[in-house]
Amino acid sequence: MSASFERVVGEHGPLIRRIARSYEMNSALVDEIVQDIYLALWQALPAFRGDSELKTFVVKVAHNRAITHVARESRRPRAAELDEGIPDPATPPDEAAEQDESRGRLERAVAKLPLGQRLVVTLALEGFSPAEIATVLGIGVSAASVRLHRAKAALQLSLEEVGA
Amino acid sequence: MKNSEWTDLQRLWKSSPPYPAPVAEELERLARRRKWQAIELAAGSVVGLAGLAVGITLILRGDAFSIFAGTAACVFVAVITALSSWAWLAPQPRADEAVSRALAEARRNARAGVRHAASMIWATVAGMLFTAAMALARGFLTIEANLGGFVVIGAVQLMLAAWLALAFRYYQTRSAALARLDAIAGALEE
Repeated sequence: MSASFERVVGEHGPLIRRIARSYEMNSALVDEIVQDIYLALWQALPAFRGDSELKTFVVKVAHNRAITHVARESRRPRAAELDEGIPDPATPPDEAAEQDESRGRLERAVAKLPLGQRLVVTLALEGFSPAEIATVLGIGVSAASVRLHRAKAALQLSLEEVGA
Repeated sequence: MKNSEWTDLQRLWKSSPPYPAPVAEELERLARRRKWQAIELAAGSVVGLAGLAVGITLILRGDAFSIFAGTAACVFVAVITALSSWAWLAPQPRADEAVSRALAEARRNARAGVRHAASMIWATVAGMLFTAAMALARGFLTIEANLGGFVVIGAVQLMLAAWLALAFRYYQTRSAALARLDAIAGALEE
């Protein structure tokens, strides 16, 4: 395993899992996507020349692998159909239970969004600017800004629906 | 949504608990599995070579029927191999390609896969019709029964049936993937 890969795992592991969870609510399938993303990163990292930020590189690989997963898993239930609950692989500690509950509601609200808006919202929640979102999606900055504005409005409605 | 509310949501979103990192051995196992998939593809090529060997053997038998059937078998294998190579050599999107471009590339590949599978199905149907025609012609035009001929016809039919089953399965898989990718592309454009 290269040092770069260890850096990716250390710095961006939680980000990768959050992206995977935005595509799939079934925890076993989330693990499958995460593993697939790690494998793609492991294979792609030697070709990474630092033309973009490592985080942007990781996010592009993660979304591309997640989309491939969604396309491949066409006969399995989709994330949007499984919004009744998010199984958490880690047992939450008691003192963080309230935060976990709020985060669960946020994840459900995000999962309810159509895929296009979900993708934009997850990038924005990760702190990506409209310009960075445009780079990841391969669209213009103004188009990314418009989509972000719509996606935020949709998220607000979705949050109200799930009772956040 | 106010800026402070958005900042709170970002903080909440990023507050996910730590997860165990993947184990290097597990990744290496997955990489090995990918290699096995490549080996499976190579096995398809071996089947093609076997078909070619059958064709050449028939040609070498020297009689008119065998030369005709052998040449047809070689042409069939060449067509199938060319179709397979065309499909498998399609450029794959880079792992860190922008999402829209990677998706466009994936859709192009899926469409190529569907066309490839359909071509294989029709090529196999043509092969089956040819074999049937050869068997009927031999049955009507020759008097003595030829055990070797029956064996060749049986072997060719088995090979064609295997091709047809694989091509049909491949067609179903790629069609489903294409439909899903089209739906994703539509959703991303919203």
